[in-house]
Amino acid sequence: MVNAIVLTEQILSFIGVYTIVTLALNIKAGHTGIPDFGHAMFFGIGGIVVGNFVAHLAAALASHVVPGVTVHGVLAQNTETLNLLNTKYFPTHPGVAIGLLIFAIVVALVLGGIVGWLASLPALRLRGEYLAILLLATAEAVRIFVTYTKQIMGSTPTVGLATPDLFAWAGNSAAAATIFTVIMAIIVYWVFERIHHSPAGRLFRAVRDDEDAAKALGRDVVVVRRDAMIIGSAVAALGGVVYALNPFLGGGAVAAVSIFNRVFWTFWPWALMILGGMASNRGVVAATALVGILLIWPIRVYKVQLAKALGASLLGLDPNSFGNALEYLLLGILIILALALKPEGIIPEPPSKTLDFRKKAEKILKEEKIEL
Amino acid sequence: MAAIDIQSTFQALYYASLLSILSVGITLSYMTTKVFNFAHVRFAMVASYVAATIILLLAKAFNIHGDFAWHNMAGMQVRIPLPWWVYAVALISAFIVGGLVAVIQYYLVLRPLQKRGAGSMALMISTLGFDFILIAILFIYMTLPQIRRLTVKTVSLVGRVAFDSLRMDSLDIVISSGSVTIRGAVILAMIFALATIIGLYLLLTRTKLGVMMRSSIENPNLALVLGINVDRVFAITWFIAGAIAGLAGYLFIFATVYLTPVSPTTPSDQIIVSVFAGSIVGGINSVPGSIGGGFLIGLIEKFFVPLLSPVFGPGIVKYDKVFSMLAVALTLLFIPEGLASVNWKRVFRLGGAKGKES
Repeated sequence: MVNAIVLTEQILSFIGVYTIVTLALNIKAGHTGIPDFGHAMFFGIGGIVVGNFVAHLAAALASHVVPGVTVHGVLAQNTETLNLLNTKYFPTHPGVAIGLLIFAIVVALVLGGIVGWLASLPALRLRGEYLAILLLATAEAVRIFVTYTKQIMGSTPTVGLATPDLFAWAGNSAAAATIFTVIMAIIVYWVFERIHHSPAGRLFRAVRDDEDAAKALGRDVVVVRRDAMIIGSAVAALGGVVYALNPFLGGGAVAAVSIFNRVFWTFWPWALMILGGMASNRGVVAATALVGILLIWPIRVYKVQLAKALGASLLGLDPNSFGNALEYLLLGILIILALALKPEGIIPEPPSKTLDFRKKAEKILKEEKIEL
Repeated sequence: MAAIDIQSTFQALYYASLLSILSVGITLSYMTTKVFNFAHVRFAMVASYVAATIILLLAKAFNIHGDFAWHNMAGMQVRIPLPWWVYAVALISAFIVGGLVAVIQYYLVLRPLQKRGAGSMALMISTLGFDFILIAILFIYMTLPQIRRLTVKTVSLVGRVAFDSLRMDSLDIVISSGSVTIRGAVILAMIFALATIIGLYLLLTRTKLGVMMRSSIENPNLALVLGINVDRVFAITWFIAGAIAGLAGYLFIFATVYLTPVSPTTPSDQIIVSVFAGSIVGGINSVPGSIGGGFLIGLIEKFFVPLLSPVFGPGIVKYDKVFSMLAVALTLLFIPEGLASVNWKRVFRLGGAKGKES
């Protein structure tokens, strides 16, 4: 039986990271109408920042403190070095760990933004599904490059790099990582809600709805699309950092096969966004929560029991494998049903909060001393 | 630096043929429905699972070889050639099953969504959803005990994980002379690619159905006015696209790397991106273009990239797909309609003039 607290932590971690990644996609695809099918490429950057950059920096800082830790060892003896760091260095140096955490967040945001900007360059020339395929192909090229470049992801692509446990000082580091995940998700949600109701958010949607009208009103459409790509990609990279630091998600390691996986970090966010509602932040959170709870709780944890309840063993099926298949069945059916029955999503795009004209008018009338 | 020998050349040709067979299906479905079909390679996989099952079942049912089961359980590479009609039945069923899955997708997913006025992005996502459902079905299928008993235990090189697969490399015919061995699947792939080209050419230019298909693609409304059931014509086009994918699926059975068993952690097969690449580089609105494009991408990945290894070291081979993705990016940015849209006569005239300078 699964511990209820661990289960809650698992669900919260899942919801947290997918909220971040899907909201990041939403600003690009939902608000601005850029069909980003290369989202995983930006997410993976966050994983590289934690698994590679932060680990190197931590090793450099710890090389004088903990015997056996060398900067060179981060790639050469990855497991041993990170094990030393996680057991001997971070538990006694909370200040350094928090500093590295902030470093990871900042670097991921900056790098994600830069790569997003680079990826936005072709977005000036292409539209629609052509752009989608171009971004898909770019992400695939990046994935292959990263997978086989030893300097980035270590020598074994499937194993990858062990991640530094920056919450080792907190006693229960898994719980601390979960809290961190949830806090980051709330911050990201808050920021995107602000953007949604700001003039910038309205401008994004204006470009999506009618490019020519936005142009006619003197807006540079290219700049608007670029901005959306930069913001969305930076936040996606932040999602990668959150993923890499959370033991429930990354499992203490980042590998190119997991962080650049286009199914998990491009297609799933797309599915969640469609389900929740394009350009609807609340919808995205609702869809993520719904799928997270459905997926982790009955399907991943109780998949054997569920498969038996669905009659898998009567057909002679292996309940364990059947449970694994249910994950895809659930998502596939949800996508198609959402598109067919509720194309606007669970919670449709809310109208932008603009100035309250009635209040404004009353204020002006009061100032002018005119009676209605 | 013997990067190229006859055997690897044939491997490259095999891969290139496979890609061109799959690319043409992407193009056919894009031309009719205006959607990039993410589920296309999965049609091939469904067809290959069915064809493999049929081969195994027939071999068992007619007791063609008593030691067949032993061969499976031991997982040894014993060559047991089966009578030709077993392969023929499997091939025909792969063709039909591939087509049927495509028609199911067209009628159950794409047509209803289009009628509701879904945009191109929504349609693309819906093909992903259908792909997920097919993954789940294949996965459940592989866990059926009746199928499990038939499967071959394969040990993956990475992580030493044993998994069940329906791969039957050992049933392939091998032509060997000296140190060179060429597999039957390689020859068959090239025959299929050629047959696809000739078959589609004859269909589109010499038959009434082909004319109906072309007119429905060119101008659906006008075709409708002329009394063509555009809906049915599109469904037939989807059937053809899926059936051609079924041919590729039949080749998967005898391939060594392309038919990896579906698992929930690694559902993404590597080949789909290259197939898109072939379809786009060749020209997404051109049937002959996509066949050529698929072939070109296959050659880039497996023939031209190994040629670079004397310069960049043997490690370059791992990055083969980076080059095909680069080809996609360049095509989309500079000739979005693909190589087929280029006015080659003009290019050659210009190129000839420029060629003298360089």
